[in-house]
Amino acid sequence: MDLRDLLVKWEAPEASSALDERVYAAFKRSARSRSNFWIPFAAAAAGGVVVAGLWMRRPVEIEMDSAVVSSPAGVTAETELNVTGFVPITNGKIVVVRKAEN
Amino acid sequence: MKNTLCALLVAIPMLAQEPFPINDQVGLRILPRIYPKGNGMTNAHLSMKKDGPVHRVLRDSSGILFAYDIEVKLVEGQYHIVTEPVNPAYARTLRTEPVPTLRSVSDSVAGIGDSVIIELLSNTATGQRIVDDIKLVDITPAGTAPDGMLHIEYADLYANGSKLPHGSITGGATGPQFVMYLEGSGGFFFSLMQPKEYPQFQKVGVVEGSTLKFVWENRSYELRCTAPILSTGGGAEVWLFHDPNFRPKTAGAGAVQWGAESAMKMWLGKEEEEH
Repeated sequence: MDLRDLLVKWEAPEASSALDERVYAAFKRSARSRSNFWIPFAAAAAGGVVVAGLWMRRPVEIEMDSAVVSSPAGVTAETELNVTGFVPITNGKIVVVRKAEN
Repeated sequence: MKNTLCALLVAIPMLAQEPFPINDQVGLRILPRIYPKGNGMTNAHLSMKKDGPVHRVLRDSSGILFAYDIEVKLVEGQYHIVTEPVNPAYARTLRTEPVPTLRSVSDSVAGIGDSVIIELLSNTATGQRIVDDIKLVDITPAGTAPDGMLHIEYADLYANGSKLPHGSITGGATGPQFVMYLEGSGGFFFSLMQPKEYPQFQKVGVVEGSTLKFVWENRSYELRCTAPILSTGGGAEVWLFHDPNFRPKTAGAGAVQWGAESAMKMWLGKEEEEH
């Protein structure tokens, strides 16, 4: 009987349960380290998105210059704004705030 | 919404603006506010016609952003602050078509010290809104002491004895400073105190009762009012400046325009901030 015949007849022994546990534990450690690797990058990306969103919605400094000017047509209370981007609210809310609440 | 607007009142520092007198006891104060953040405005103190609306205009460098009218009525002992779409005839003078304005009339009963807050403009990119805080305030005179104001009421301006074209003011203004624009004659600027921020002023005017006399470039002027110019009824020296080529940059067009210190700042610019 030569070596080839012996190998054909040979059966691998059953793996012990201890070996299974070691292999499984090693796999979990590897998987965990791979997943932890991306956490800082994901957090940085999420933070960047939040900061960009807040920056885009940041209140802009607005300067107003107001004057009251009269003419035969009546009294005009006029305010000049130094920025653009505002649109009219033609049906805006009107609220009365009583003196006690001020 | 109400809570938001109430929070706005607390969150933004008060910026002073003198009221327009409605009568001897009650004035109307208009205060534009920015939510959630903003700053800056100038003061104003001006008489208004007791029976007419106040035209409210907001604009930027591109034109009129919003305009509406405010009227205060006293009905059965209660003040009503009425906000309404801008008067069409007045809107035509604003040279913007169409003028953004309110859709409907709103009548709010308000007592002294109450605020009527009305949303006017919004910026969807920043989330900011601009509102007007309209308030009735007590302006009962404290007494008869000198108030340091020029009281210009229903005045005619004469040059070398002849009334200037468009030379009549059909209303009034009260303040330490007074400005008037007459088409064809330019701008006239008056101040009881030396306005250090504007070096072009000269102390060449004098108040005598209900007349303000001055000489500018060899022409003698008289601003003749229907009532004493000073609260004391007496006289005082006046600083003044005249620019025959001046044109006001305020939105409301008119051959005759006038105002107090806020109009002077807007018309001459805020030179004091550069010093």
